[in-house]
Amino acid sequence: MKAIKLFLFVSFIFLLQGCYTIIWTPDLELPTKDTSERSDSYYDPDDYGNYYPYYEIPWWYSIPPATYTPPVKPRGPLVEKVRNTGNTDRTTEPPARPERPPIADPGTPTVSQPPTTEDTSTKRTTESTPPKRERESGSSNSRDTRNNDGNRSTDPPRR
Amino acid sequence: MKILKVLILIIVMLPLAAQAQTITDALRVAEGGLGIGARALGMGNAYTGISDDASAMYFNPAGLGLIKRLEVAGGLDYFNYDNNATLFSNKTNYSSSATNFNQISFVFPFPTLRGSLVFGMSYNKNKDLTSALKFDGFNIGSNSMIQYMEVVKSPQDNQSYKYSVPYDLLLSNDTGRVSTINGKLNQSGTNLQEGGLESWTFSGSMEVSKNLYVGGSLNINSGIYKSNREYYEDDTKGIYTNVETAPGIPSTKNFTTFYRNDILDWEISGWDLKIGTIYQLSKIARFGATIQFPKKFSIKETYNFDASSTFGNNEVKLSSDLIDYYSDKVEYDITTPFVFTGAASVNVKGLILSGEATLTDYTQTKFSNPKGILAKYITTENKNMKELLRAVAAINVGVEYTIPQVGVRVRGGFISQPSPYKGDASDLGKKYLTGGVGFLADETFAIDVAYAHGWWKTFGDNYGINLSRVYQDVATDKMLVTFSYRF
Repeated sequence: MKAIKLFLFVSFIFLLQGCYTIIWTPDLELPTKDTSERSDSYYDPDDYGNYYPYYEIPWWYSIPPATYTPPVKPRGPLVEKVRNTGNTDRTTEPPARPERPPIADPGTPTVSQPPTTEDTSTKRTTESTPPKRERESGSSNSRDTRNNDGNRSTDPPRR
Repeated sequence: MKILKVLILIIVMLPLAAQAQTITDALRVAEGGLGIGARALGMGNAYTGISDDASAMYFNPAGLGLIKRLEVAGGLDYFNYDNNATLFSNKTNYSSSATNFNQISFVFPFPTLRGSLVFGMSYNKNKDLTSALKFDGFNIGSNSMIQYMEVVKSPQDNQSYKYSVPYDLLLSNDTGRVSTINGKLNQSGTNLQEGGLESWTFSGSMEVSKNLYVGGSLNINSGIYKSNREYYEDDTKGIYTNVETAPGIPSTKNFTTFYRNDILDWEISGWDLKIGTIYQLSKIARFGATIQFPKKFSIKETYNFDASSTFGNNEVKLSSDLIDYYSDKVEYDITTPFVFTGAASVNVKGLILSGEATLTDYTQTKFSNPKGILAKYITTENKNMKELLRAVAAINVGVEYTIPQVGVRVRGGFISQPSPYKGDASDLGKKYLTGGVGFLADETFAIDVAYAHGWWKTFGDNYGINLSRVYQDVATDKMLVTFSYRF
């Protein structure tokens, strides 16, 4: 009992001095070398080599900073309507159709034409349906194309 | 009626008092052991002023605040006790060894914006109680254990009691007071002791000002101790061949051997507190100090006694009732003194020099709360401890050098623990030379190995004072390996 009283007394004396140590709380980013105040090192890297990080570098320095990316909500039709009405932007007309390529005589049997170039994306056929450009909707090329339209990016800002 | 009750009580308590506690029992738990951690031991346990790993929980809990990474540590130790005993100029060697877990520790530093807050938990094997003794010598004097046991005397007075071990074994006359045995017997025996003191330690440390750390450890102590002593007195010279050791009983001629066996079992429990502080002066030095509050050990003791005598080919044994009569179970507490330590370490270009002094006033050691032991006896023993023991200062020094290119550290140290008995010469104090190496792999995994060689002299009396004294040259060897992983 006597020991406990003495221990509490000594603890109380130190508490009266004010708390030097500031503990990290989860609402803050983990402290880094630049954002925390460290006391003196005892082990100099020149004299102790690998023992320097063993003793002197806090474990939380090696934890990468946490990032938060808000989830992207797919835009619903209502929002789209709101988004696109009521502004004074110039209405963009649908792009003009490309000129139809010449079609072979319908009386003659269908003959496959060899490609004129190696570019498969412009491959022509003799089918009766209008030619379509093959589009890889997920390719990076198409995404670049999608985004390089001169408008401000609507993607959420990257942190 | 009341007098009869008191008389019965005295009769019941007498054998208990005869095997009651001694100063040796108190010192068994009061004197410090070799602690935990190979780095510390390699530096002669001069670690109060360094204490920047998990073993800080044992040496200086404030040092925990210096730890900046999560640490898991474990260790194994090997301990050997070698005893060269001399009884009546005859030398006998005996040894005993033990292998134990030394520690399992975990340290968790909280992330801080400034300062330090670190908590730790550890299981420590603080002290090994392994020891061994073997002796064998012819006592030409006219004394013996048989004669010493002739009359059971209570410690309070000289009241004698008829029944005694020699009487039960047909080694004395009807009164039990006068034996026909009169020394000149060969005396031999062994005493093997094993066990240890352990603790679960919960520690915390905080940086209360820049470079100043304060910490504390709560130790929940436990342990076991077992002593098995076998003692023989043999009529190797045929002095009692034609003597009836129990006059009037012819079968007691041709006495050859007296044997006794004492087995002591302790269950130890208790708790204590240690507080400490450490100040780091830039890269140059650290200064540490600790206060070990008195430890309170609760002892549950079981004492088992057995004896026999041999006449030619006939052996006389104690009946089971008498074995129960001479055996007992008791409980009591041992409170150890305050222990104060002051320490410093100096750091110069990869070389660390460390030293500390520890003051222990053993006169403050005491027994208390006896159950099954006469309170007056406990009071007498406490008085004896005040009169026979003293305050001593133990010294620890150590050195460590780091070879940075290869991540290897080499170290050495010296420990001096003076004898707690008043007037004891220097060679009765314990001394240890220590050394060790450490290796760090991948900046995270450290292996430390330490070796400590200890030596000292001591002595013990089989009975009486300096009638059958066994002089002992003790040498101990301890090997300790510690593994530490820092995340």
